[in-house]
Amino acid sequence: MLARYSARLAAATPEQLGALEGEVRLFIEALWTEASAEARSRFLDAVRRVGPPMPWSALRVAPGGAPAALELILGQVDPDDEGVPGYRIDPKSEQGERALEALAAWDTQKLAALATPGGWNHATELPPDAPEGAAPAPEATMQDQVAATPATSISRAEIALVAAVGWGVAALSAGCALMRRPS
Amino acid sequence: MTPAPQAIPKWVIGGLATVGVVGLTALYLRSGDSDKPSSPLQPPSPGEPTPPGQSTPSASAPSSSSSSTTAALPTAADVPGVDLIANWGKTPADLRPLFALMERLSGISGSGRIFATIAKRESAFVATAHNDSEAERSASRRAYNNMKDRNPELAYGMQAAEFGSGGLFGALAPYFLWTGVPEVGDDAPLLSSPPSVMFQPRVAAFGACVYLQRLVAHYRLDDHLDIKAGWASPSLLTGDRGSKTYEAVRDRFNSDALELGVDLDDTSTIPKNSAPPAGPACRSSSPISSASSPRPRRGSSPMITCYDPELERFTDDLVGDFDYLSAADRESWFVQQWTEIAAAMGWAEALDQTLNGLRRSRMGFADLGTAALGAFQQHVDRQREGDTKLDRARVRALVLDHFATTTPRNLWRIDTSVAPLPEGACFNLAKWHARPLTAGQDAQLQAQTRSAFQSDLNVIILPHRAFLADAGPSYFADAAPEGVGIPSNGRCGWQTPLRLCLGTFPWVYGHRLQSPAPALAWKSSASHHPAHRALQLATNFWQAEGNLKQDARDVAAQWKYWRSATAGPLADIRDTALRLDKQLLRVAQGDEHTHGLNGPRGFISAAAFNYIQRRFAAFFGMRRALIRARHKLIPELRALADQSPDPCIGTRRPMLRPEVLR
Repeated sequence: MLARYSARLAAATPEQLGALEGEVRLFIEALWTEASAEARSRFLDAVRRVGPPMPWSALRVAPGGAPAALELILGQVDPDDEGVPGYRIDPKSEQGERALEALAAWDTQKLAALATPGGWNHATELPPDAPEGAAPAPEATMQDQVAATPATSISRAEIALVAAVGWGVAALSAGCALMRRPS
Repeated sequence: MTPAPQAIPKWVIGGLATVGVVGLTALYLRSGDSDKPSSPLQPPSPGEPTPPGQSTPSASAPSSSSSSTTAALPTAADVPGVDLIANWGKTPADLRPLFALMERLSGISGSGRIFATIAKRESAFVATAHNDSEAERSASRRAYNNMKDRNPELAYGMQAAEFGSGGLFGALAPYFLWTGVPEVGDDAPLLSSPPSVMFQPRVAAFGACVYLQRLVAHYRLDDHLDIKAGWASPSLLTGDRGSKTYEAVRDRFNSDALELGVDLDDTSTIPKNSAPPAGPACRSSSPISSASSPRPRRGSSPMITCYDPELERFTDDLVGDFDYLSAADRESWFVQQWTEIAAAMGWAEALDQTLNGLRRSRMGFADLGTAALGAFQQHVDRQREGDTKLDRARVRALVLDHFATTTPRNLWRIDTSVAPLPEGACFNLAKWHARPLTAGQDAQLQAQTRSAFQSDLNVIILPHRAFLADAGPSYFADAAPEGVGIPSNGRCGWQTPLRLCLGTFPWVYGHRLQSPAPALAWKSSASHHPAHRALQLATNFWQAEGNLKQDARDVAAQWKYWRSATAGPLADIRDTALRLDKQLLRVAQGDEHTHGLNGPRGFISAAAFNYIQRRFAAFFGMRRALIRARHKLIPELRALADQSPDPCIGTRRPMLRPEVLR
C-alpha cells in the first residue's frame, strides 16, 4: 500500500488528494500502532526532514530514499510465532541477500518478482539487471511501473518494503530475522 | 466395472443433495411415456421378469436405444436450449438428452459430459449392463451386510446383496437402493424397488446425480479427474488420495474421455477447474461449483433481518438454510461447518479420519463436536510450546476460560482492559541469565535441563504479553485510544485493551488476517490447550446452546463493521486472479493463502476473508434455524431463548427497527 499511495501522491490532483487523505491517515495510523517507540521516533524525524503537510510527508519518496512511513513498517513489533513465516527474511541466506539488495536499491521491479502477498518468493528468477552505470530510475518511472503493474505486483512491492532499506539494515545485520506484516 | 462407491455414508447429507433427491426424482417421475413404470415408488412384483440385456457390456455394445428402456429416455425437447452437439464426442445421441437433463436438474454445471464419460467406462452406454461376477457380488454382499443395520430395510435386500452392480453408471445394488436415505430417511424412493430398477436409465441417473452431489458437497475435488476417483471410492479422495489406485482411476478416466471424444478442458461446455491445492477453494472453483452452493432457504420468514436487512441473503449465499428439528438436516449442516473449518485451518485429513471413524461407530455422529475438537487438538499438539514459553499456554487458556465464564453473552469479540484478567494477560518468559555458570552449575544444567529451568539461580523471568495487541484500526474495530481506561500494567506493558475476535478464531486479530492464521500458533503445554479451548468457544457460536446464549446484536454489529471495512478493498480488487462470487473470494490461479485483498488496514488473504464470511453466516444460519424452531425446542433451549435480552428472539419479536441494534 505504501508504494501505491506514494505513486498516487505524486500524480494526484488536489481533489484526488482530498479524497485519499482519510484512507492514508488510516494507513499511517495502523502502521503507527504496530510500531515500536524507536521506530515512531525515527519516523517523526524522517517526516520532519521531508517537511509538512501530513499525511503526505509520510509517503513522499525522496530521490534515492524511501518514504518516511517505511520506518514504521521496519519498526513493527515482532509478532513472534503469531506472525507469518513467509514474511521472514534471513539476511544470511542468498535469497535474503537478493531481497535486501532489491530493497536497498528500491528496485520495485525486482521486488515485484521476489515477493508475493503471502510472503517472499525466493524461487523466482530475477529480471535482468539494468545496464551497468545506468542512472537510478527517476521517480516518474517508478510511478509508471507501479501504475502499470497488476495489483499482485504492487502488493509484492509493498511487502518488500517490510524488510529493510537503509535504517532496517542495522537490524538485519544484527542477525535478526524480521517478521513483518504486509502493509 | 469400477466398483461402486464404497459407502453412501449417512453423514454426507448434503443440503443440496436434500434438495436434489426431491428435485431429481423428477428424472424418472416426470415421464409421461406409457410404457414407463407407473412409478418407481411402486415396485414391480417379486416375480417381475428380469430386464433384458443382463450381461457385461462390451465396447461394441449398442447404446441403450436397443433396449426396452428407450421410450423412457428424455429427448431433446426435455432440454430445450441445450447444445447436444458440441463436445459430446461419440456419446450416443439418444442418451445425450438424459445426460444433459442430469446436468440441468443436478445444477452441476458441465456434469453432463462427465456423466457420459463415466457411463462409457461403467456400462459402455448399455443401460442394462450388469456385472454379476463373483467379485462384484461379493462386494454387494459386503455392502449390504455392513450397512443394513444403519439403513432402512430394503424390500429386496437379499437380491440386492447377491446382485453385484449395474446400470448406466455401474452402481453397487445395495447402495443404489439406499440412495436418498441420508436426505429423506424412510421416504427414500428406492427402498421398495428390486435392484433391477437400476436398468432404467432415469433411475440410474437419479442415483448418479445424488452421488455426484455428495462428492461435490463433501469431498475435495481438485479437478475433473477427481470426480471419477470419488466415483470409484470416496476413500481415494481422502486417505488414499495419491495412491496407485487413485492415479490409475484418474488415468483411465482421462483415457476414456479422449477415446469418447469429450474434451475435459473445453471450458465452454465444462467450466474450467483451476485446481487450487486444497480446501474450500477447490470446491468453489470446481467445474461443479454450483452444486456445492448452500441449500436454499426454507420458508420466507425474514427472521434475521431483524438484525440487518442484508443478513438474510448473506446467510443464504454462504451457509444456506436447514431445519434444526430434522436430525439429518442438522447433522449435515454441522458436518459442513466442520469440514469448512478443518479445510481452512489445514486439518482436513484429521477430520476426515475422524468422520470415517464416526461413520463406523454405533453412535454415529451424535458426538461430532467433541470428536472433531479432538482431531483438531491432535493436529495442533504436533508442536508443543517450547520450554521457555510453557507459561504462555497456561495464561492463554486461563484468559479464555475467564471470558467464557464472565462474558458468556458477549464472546464473539472481546475488547477489554487486561487489569481483571488472569495474570494480567501476561506470561512469564524464562530466559537464561547471561551470567557465566560455575562448573558445578554447568554440570547440573547439562544433567537436568528442566529442573535447572525451574531454578531461579540462572534463569530470569521476563513478563511478556500472552496475546498480540490489536489496538490499531483494523478490519474488526477502530483504533483503541492508547492508555485510555487502561491501568498501567507494570508487568508486561499492556497499554491498550486486549482485543480478540473469538468468533473468527483462528483469525482473532483484526489487523492480522494473513495466512496462516495467527492463533494457529497457540501451542499447548502438557496441561493447557488454548487453541483447542478457543476453537471450542468459536464453534459454540453455531451450536444451539452457544448460539442462543450469545447476544446476536453484538455479532450483527461486528458483521456490519467487517462489511464496511472490507468494502473499499473489495471495490478495488486489482489482483487479476481474484473475483468476488456469492460473498466469497474465488482465486482463479494460485491459492487462497497468497492471494487476497489489500487495504489501508492491511492484507487479508482470501482464505481468511472466506473463513470470516462463513463464520458470520454460520452464526446467523444457526440463529435463524433456532428462531424458526423455537417453539419446538427442548425446554432448556427454549428457556435460553426466553431469557435472551436480544429483542430479535424475544417473545415479542419486533420487525426491523434500527433502534434495537446497538
